[in-house]
Amino acid sequence: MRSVLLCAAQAPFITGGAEILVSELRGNLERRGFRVDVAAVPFKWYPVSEIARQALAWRLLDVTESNGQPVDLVIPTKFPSYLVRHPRKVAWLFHQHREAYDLYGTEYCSFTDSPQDQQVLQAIHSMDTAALSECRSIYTISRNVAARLSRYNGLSGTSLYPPPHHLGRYRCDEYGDFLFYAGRLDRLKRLDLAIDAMRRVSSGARLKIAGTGPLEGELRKQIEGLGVSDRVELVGFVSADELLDLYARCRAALYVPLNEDYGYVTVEALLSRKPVITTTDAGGPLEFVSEGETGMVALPTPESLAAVIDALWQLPEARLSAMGAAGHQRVKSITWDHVIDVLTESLA
Amino acid sequence: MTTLACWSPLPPSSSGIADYVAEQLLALPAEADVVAVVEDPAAVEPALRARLRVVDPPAAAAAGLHVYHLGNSPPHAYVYRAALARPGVAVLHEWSLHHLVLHETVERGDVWGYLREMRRAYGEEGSFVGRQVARALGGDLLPALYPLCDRVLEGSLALVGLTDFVCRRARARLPGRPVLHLPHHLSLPLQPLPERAAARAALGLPADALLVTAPGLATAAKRLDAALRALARLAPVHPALRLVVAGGVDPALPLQEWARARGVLERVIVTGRLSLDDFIRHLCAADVVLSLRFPSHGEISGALVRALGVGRPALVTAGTPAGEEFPEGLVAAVAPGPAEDDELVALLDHLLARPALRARMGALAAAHVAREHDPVRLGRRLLEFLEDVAGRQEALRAQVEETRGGEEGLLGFLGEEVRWAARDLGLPGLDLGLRPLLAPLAEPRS
Repeated sequence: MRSVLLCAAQAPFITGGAEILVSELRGNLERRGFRVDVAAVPFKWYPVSEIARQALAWRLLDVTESNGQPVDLVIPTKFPSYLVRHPRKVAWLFHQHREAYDLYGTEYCSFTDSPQDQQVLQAIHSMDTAALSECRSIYTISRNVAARLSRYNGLSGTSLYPPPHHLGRYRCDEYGDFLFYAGRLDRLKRLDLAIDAMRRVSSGARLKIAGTGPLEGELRKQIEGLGVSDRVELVGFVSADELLDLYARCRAALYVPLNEDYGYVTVEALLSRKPVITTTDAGGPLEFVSEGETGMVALPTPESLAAVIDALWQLPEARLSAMGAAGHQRVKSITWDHVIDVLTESLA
Repeated sequence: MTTLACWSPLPPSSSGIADYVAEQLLALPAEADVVAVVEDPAAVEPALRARLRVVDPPAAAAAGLHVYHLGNSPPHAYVYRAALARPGVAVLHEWSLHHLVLHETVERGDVWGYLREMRRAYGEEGSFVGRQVARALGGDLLPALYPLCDRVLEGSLALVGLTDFVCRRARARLPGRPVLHLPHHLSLPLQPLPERAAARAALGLPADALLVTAPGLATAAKRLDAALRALARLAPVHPALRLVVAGGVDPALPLQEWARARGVLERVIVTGRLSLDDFIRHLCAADVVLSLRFPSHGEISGALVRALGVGRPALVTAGTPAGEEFPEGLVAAVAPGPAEDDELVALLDHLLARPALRARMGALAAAHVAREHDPVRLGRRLLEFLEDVAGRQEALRAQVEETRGGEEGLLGFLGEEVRWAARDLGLPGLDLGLRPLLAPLAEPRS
């Protein structure tokens, strides 16, 4: 039995998409007959001065064998787990430390122009390039992540899309009277933009937002402040069945993150045969959403987004159904067996 | 015999260490081959230049072993830079070099350099504290708690400490590196020493007063505010009590205002800066010597050693080198903190009321200091130590290179980041084998 070690950087007590993805990868590798374990080292990304030191912890580990048994394959996932050393290292890159790359200089970045921060920035770039260069192969969870890797580090990565959590259970019951978003309520998801757009719609569209996160209180205030409680609803945490039901009954998904790595929402919606409304700067979702084919694409402004929502609301159900079918066609080949085949190819 | 280059300011420098080094060099065995390295040889006292070989830094390059006398003040800046540039033997007169590093960085406009040093030594906590100190918000205590001496320690072949306080810490920081505890030598050039009455007569001090003498430059750390409070409380019991400040006063210290506020202005005698002979006369004239210091940067007071040498009982601050360096009973220790005033009053009252006890303590102190702090004996011990280090230079140099990494640029930064953890665990000499691990991460790539 070949052994595979998954490397995960984790913020203790926080479970997000990356942790779920690692867990599912583990389960599917085991299902395919591999001996699997997960090495998770806590990671704290603030203050900036802590990043390099925390990252270097990975460099000091020897994971070539365990208890005298060789580790055949190491699969690091996100920054900084790929600093780990191993002769057969195949990265499945969820994301790098984005504040040092595409988010650098934006309101989402905590790096300053100070010499200290610039030294850390330089260190991250150098470490990433070097450590990822050591990989036998680099796969990324989206073309967007691969494009960043190419742009900032000069390295090639091949996109390998992860299947969503409830693969095989998504369905379409109807094209109902609400838009749907499911996911973490954090700043990069730009739900403030979506809520602002909802203030401007004239079609009677409604939006249901499922999930929890640090912005929940702020979003609730925004909804009340803008007077859109009648058309925007924060439904909070939902169970798996409720989630599938909401996808099954919504008219379309609304997903407007800033330069998202991948975006499960898109794939889940398309597997539910629902069109997706997104923006031109959404990143990962644009790998699946084509204007008028599998969804609609707005400029990242409330006005443009509202206009697109109103336009979608006028579409007949047959048109929505056709877009849903095209979308389903685009994502139906995303399977765990394909992911496992690719990641373990070097063991064959 | 190896040529020794001894880096230190010399008299008339404002650093007290200058006097110490001059005395030490003159007390070294005749066979010692020594040059004194100063920034400007022409500025050294002519009498000293006549007795020592004094050179400027470039002229010392060929010496076989370099000895760096490091104090926590700007006159030692050139010594500090030399010690970092070329491994030698560091003589740590104080454990903390924080003020010196501040002088070399913040006071020259290099705040980032200072913060880097603080982070290097103390991690993120150091960055936080450093930002306060760089804005002059650190007070006196923080620089004492964060001594910033690691870089010098790591870059030294061997260490000489004047107190056990310093040597213990140095050994813990650099296991395997030679460390010599060299007690502060006793220097009493005024011979024969005058009796108490004669000294008072020579100085114009009242013959029948009870004199508590605080020797040396009066600064905030000398706890003279506490001394004045004690003076006010003890005056009704000891009407003849006087406090003598035997030395200059830091202009920032409101000594007069404090004394006036306590109603003891007429009981305070401030001498101003003294000649060495008059300074020793003041020690001889004292009934009790007050050598308090808080916070301490790990230094030992030469004035205290002299006071003990002339046989006077001394009060020192507990938990500082002065409180730990001498056998129990030779000095009386006052704990800094809420009980400082009460302890000071109780101890002074006890001593002032008991001339016989003062005499016994003084005699024990004089005998101990004469035996353990003899400059000739200490000079020989120092020379033997330096010869031993000189003979092991290659191996010690290899240790230095391993400890401090010596890398610049990105690799140096990465190495420091990881090495910090080992230092924080008290394992500064641990061979982490970092270079092969980190070098590939720091290589420039196209």
